[in-house]
Amino acid sequence: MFLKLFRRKETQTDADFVSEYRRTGDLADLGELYQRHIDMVFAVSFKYLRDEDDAKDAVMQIFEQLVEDLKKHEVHHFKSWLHTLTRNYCLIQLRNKRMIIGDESIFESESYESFVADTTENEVWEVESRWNDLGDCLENLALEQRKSVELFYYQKLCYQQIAEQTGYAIQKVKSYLQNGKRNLKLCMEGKQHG
Amino acid sequence: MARQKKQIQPSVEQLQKYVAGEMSFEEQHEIEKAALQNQQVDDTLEGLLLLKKAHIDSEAVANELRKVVRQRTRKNDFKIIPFYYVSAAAVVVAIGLGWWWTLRLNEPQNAIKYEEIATTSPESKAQPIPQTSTPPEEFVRVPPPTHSKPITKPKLSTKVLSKQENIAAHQSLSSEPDDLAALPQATSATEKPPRIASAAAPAQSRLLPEESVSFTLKGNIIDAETQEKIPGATIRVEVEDTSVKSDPQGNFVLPHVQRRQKIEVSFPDFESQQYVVGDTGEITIGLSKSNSLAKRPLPAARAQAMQRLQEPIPPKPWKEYKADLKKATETFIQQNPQIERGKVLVGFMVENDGKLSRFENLNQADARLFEEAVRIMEAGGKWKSTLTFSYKMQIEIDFD
Repeated sequence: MFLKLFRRKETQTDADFVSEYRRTGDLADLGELYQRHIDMVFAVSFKYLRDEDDAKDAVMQIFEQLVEDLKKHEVHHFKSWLHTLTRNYCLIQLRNKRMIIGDESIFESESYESFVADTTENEVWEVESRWNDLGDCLENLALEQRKSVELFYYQKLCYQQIAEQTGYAIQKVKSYLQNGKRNLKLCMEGKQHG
Repeated sequence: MARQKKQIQPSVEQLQKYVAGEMSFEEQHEIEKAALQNQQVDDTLEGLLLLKKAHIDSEAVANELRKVVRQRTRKNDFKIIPFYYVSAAAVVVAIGLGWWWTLRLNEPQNAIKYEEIATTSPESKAQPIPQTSTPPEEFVRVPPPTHSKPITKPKLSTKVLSKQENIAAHQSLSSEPDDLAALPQATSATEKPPRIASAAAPAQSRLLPEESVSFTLKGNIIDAETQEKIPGATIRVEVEDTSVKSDPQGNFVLPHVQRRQKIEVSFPDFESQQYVVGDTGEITIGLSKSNSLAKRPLPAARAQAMQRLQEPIPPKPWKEYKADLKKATETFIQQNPQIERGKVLVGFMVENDGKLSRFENLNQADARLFEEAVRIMEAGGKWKSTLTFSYKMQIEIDFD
């Protein structure tokens, strides 16, 4: 008991908490672990739900789900797993909301499409690792995308600087980068296959 | 993929710093790169940016949520909370019982009053001698037995808390026979008989038309035998459970009383007396010394308590003893006609063997009178004591 208390004070990794919880089923362990990531859960919930109270409810509901799910599933990367859990919970909420309100527009909106698409895109694609293989793929990009990618990855500028240099809105810079990255990846994949 | 492992996910604190605009361009670039690579970082960052835009203090909300989570997971408290409840309930019950018990003791139907047990000494009450009362030490009375005018204008000094309530119509005079007996006795003993309330309303009394009308009851508490005023007597209104004390003139005022309401007058060493409010607005209540106490059947424990409190008695019955004292003082005055006359209040101890000791001049009387008083008492011989300890007493000896 003393050892346990003592150990609690030391920096425990997420994995320690998870295995401890799976072993003892002690809610206090889980609560402590959850508190570490509560900022992330709340921010992500707010991103999707766009309502403070809904996001707060989500944080508590997700915790309840965690109590059950963590017993059933072997979790290695708790934080990303928790993120996925949070996002899925929010998507279900949005779907229910759509059914209640009958609001189709929320699913037609670009943001919804993009985050649904992102769900499948789990592998991380590194631009830098294939730097030399890019070839004409970069040339084939739309001007805004190419400019943004060059300034961001070559010159290592931040969004704000790119926006200042190019006159694009910061949000646009971000989306050019995301799309440019995706197009580069597709281009490279086409090259490999072709 | 080795490179990828090197990538460190920015912490929420770093993201918050980014959102707050506290980062250099290079740092911002790193955060943005991480967000482009990692969906979780991207979602968190976007969420934080949206929260900032909505003017929501994400850290405050997070702390609030942490508190909720802590409450949710604090399982140990479940064992403790019922224990707190149980002990709190026990305390409440104990207080309630104590209160109820006190009420029961004060109940007039309960013939023996708590104060009476604590302070009375039935022996001395059995033969009450007006001029030389021997009250227990904690109880000091105003000595001069000047015959008082029973009815004086009551002073409106007493404070009463009273609720206006209708009293059940059936409340009738339920005082004990002893108390009733005391009343006529009190009346007959007086030269100028005070109006006793239970008697038919005399001419000067206020007549009240309706029972529900409340009025102010003024009264005077006197010693039924000596007609002395009794200050500090408790006048309690039943049901409402409010009470007042009589002032130094023995007067009291009870506002908002109603007809048929019962009041009870009590004073240590005296029989408490019940009175049912009638039409009279001004009353005099005579209390007689509680000589009847000994006659009452006592529960064994209480009887024992009484036994323990029995005062020592003089070598002769009180009446004869008093007569002897009187004779002795007269003789002394005859022998010393020029001496200043007065009363001596003598305090003394009766040892368990009946010897008298530790005489005190309680009223700062003339030293020669005190000396003589002590001589007379010592000449009277040993007292009778059933006690195992010394008992403090006082006696008044009148030289006139």
